[in-house]
Amino acid sequence: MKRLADGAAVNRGDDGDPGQPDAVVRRAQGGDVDAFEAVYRAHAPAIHALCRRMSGEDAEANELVQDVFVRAWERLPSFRGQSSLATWLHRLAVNEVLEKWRSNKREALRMIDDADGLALDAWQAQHDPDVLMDVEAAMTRLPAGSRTVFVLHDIEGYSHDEIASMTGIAAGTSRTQLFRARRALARVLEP
Amino acid sequence: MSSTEHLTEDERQGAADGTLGAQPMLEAYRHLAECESCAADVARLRTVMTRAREAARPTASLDDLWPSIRARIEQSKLVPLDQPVAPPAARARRPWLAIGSTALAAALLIAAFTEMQRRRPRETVAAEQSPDIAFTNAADSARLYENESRRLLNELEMQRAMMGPSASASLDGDLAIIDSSIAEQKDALARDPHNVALQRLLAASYRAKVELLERANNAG
Repeated sequence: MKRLADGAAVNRGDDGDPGQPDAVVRRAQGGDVDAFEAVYRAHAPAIHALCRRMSGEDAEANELVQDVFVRAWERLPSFRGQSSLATWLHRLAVNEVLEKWRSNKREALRMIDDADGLALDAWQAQHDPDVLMDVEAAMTRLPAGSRTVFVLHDIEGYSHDEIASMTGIAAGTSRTQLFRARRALARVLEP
Repeated sequence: MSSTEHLTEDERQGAADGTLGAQPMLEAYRHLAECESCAADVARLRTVMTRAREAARPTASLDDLWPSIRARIEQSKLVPLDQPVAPPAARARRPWLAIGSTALAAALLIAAFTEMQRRRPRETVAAEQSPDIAFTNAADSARLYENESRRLLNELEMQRAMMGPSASASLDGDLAIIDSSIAEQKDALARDPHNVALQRLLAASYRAKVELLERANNAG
């Protein structure tokens, strides 16, 4: 996991000790749906926040959360406890969201269509400089490409090479989009 | 960089997130110690990153999402068959062809069963699921399909009157193949009652029977 200069751990959900899966997870791995419900209740808020940040919409985030946990149920037997369950779920969620976008041409275009920053420029032009936004609202309103890179890099802790490999954009594009996203957020958060 | 030149955009961003290399980082920090303008800008970028990581908008209750997740999970626990069910339109046009494909699926099940008997079926138990739970899931599936096949058989009796003699005979032949497969599997389960693979195969056979009966009923 990457750590940033200020020493803060990036939020990949590393809130548990890697090692053997705990008893509840082992029961869920064995097919116990009630145990899996406990896993859902413990981790759904963080996964929902991730999905909302990536998609920018509550309704889409709700759908994505369902898909992520159904996929988690299917893949849980392969979880060996080498990372915390939170980390494993976060990675699975990111993959699931990107996979959904890849399977949807419009969404895939949404991801790469802002390589030149035009959507970000338009977004900033629409923003009233006298209105302060909270950071969560500002993030979800970023153009999808910039928002995805910002969330993956600055919040989830992926490197540009990892982002490039996951999204299909070049690492240089990822850097450019990240820098633009930070600048745009800085402007709307502290005009 | 010299201490009189401001940091470039890449250097400011790299200084903010710590991704500059060791030497450039050292030089950047030296510059930041002397240049208020660059230091303020880097601090601004760091604030954005920190606030974004710490942002936690209250999430609406996610309890509402669980029932549909659970329903999808329960659905996925039913034993799948390799042969897809034909769409309704195709069924209406060529019902007996579809039934033939179910009979083929049943024949394949019998072949799989025979091969499994030869290869010690206990070894095929999925490693990822505890045998007890996997067995219970497969037994639940078999029970569900068995009950459904009983209901469909009753419905079929109503359809028989409208069925031609050759179609009826063909259906009975296919049902006989599946029933014989089911009987063999029940027999084997009686001898080896905790065998998960056998229980799954039995569930699959019942599902083949349900699909055959559904097609027959829809064709009528």
